[in-house]
Amino acid sequence: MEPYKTCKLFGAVRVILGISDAIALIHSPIGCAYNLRYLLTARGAKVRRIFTTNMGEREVIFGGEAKLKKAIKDIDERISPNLIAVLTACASSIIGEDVDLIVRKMRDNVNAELIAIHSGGFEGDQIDGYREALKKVLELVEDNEKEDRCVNLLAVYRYGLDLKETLGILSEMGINVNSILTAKTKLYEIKRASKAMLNVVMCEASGLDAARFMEKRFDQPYIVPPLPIGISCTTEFFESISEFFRINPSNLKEKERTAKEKIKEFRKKLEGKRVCIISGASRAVPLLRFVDELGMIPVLVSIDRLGEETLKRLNKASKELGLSPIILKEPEYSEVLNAVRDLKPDLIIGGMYEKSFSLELGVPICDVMHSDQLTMCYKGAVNLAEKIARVIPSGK
Amino acid sequence: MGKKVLLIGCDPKRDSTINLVKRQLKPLLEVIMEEENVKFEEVVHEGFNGVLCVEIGGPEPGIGCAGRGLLLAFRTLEELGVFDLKLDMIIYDVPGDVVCGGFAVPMRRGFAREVYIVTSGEYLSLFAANNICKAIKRVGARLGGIICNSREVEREREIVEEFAKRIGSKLIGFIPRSRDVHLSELNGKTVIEFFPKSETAKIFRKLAENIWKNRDLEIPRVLTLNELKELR
Repeated sequence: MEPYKTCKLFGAVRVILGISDAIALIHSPIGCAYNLRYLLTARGAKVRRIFTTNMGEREVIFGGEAKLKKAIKDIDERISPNLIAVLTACASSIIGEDVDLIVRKMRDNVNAELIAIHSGGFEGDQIDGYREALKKVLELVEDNEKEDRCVNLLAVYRYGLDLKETLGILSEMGINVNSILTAKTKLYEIKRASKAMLNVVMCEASGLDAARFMEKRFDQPYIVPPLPIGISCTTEFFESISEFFRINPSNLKEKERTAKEKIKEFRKKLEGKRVCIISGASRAVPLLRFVDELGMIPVLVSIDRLGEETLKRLNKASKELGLSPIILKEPEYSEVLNAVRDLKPDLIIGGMYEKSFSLELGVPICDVMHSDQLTMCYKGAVNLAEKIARVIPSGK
Repeated sequence: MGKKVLLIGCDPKRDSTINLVKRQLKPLLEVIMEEENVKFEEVVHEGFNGVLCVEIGGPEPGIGCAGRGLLLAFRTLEELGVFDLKLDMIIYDVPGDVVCGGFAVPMRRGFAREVYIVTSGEYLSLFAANNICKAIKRVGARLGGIICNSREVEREREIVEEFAKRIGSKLIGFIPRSRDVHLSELNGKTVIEFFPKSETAKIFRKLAENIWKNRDLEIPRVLTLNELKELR
């Protein structure tokens, strides 16, 4: 099969890369670290370093404890991060390397905080990896007094224009963002995560578990609003937070109105155009609603990995808007390709992976999955609308 | 003794619980592979005298990775809450060759607190027992004692007692070679069930009592080849 998802390690390492004073040390052969770095850099992320213990035949057969211990010591001495996260990969996971024990033994020998994450590739997919690694990291959270109007953002994948825009609006609303888990987050910000009065889950599939953990451990309620992509979802996102704190965000409605006005000019060109949405769980519904806001018709929604609520939310949104797109649930590559080929849409909204068949099928694509373009919040909606209008050829 | 016991069979041969539940259980690993959500009742079964039984299973000989199987099995048992049950004792029946990381899992923190090694007085049996001590040390587990399963070797008790002493432990039970065991097995039962009044049954009960009362748990000393050879 040709996969549309990837392995557990991929997700787990993302959590650690989001912690700026942490180092990811993968107990693995060189390929895992090299390939991940290569891939993440190609996606446009400013990737920090990914370390490996360089397991070879010897370590697989005889165990890799010596190399792991040495690597931990080296990193602690040469780089002095505040946190070293040891991640298992397929090789160390299959041989049952007891990384928990090794980490316990090494704790007193190093200055850095040390945690072990079980992320052998075959153990699950990237969402499983992110989900479990995030929970593990949250075990570092310390007890703190709660502060009012204070939130955490859980399961944030990128620190880019979208996050900055979101933070800006929250700041205007008088909401203090305590910890972002995890994007350019420092260890001390993780430790203080218990200060927040509310956890806002950004990616339902990978962040819900962590939210439940924080609720149980620190009595923090959580909400899972739609991602702020498109106008209505942006409003819903911020209103769900303002409602929780019983505040009235003064200029939210103003921004909404302005955005709706600006979008009108693009609607003329986009009205009636047919769109295939290829995304993850958290973007599927917002993109569906946004496409509808632009007067376009979503004919396909393909979701690479479902969360617990994804289908329910998608069906609800489709019904409310009177839409009936074909829904692909965790499909293989060929299923997506064939579906798009059969539907002959005017546009694909997706990411880097979709660029390949965008070219093959001659269907324009709008890539919405990266950090150096604004896609979220009101400005992002207008930006996307403009970009989509540009990408779709006229007079079709 | 009226205690609530759980037996977890950790051998891919899946023969640990067979004389308690009177049939070969569908192994936990097979259930995991077939079902999306594994249910407690599918993997924990009650056997003779109320003993709870779990048979982990594993790949057929010559294929796959049994060690990895154990890792997955223990994780699943944790998720099912098996280790949170109100039990007096959990017994892990682990094969004598701790051949890879996975087979040491039952001895790791959070699982078995004490390890008992079953050996005879034969040289190569003691060799294997000594080898297991290496794993115990590495994992940071504790040895509770040596159980001798007699092969009627000359001066066997003396030899095994000496071995136990040298590794820093003690002989906690001596099971004489007996037809009782053989016949009970043939009838698919334990000695306690099939020959409850026999000498052998009495010896097993004494062993159980000794284990229950045992508070001497040691980090074993690993013997050199020469030290092993001296035991005769």
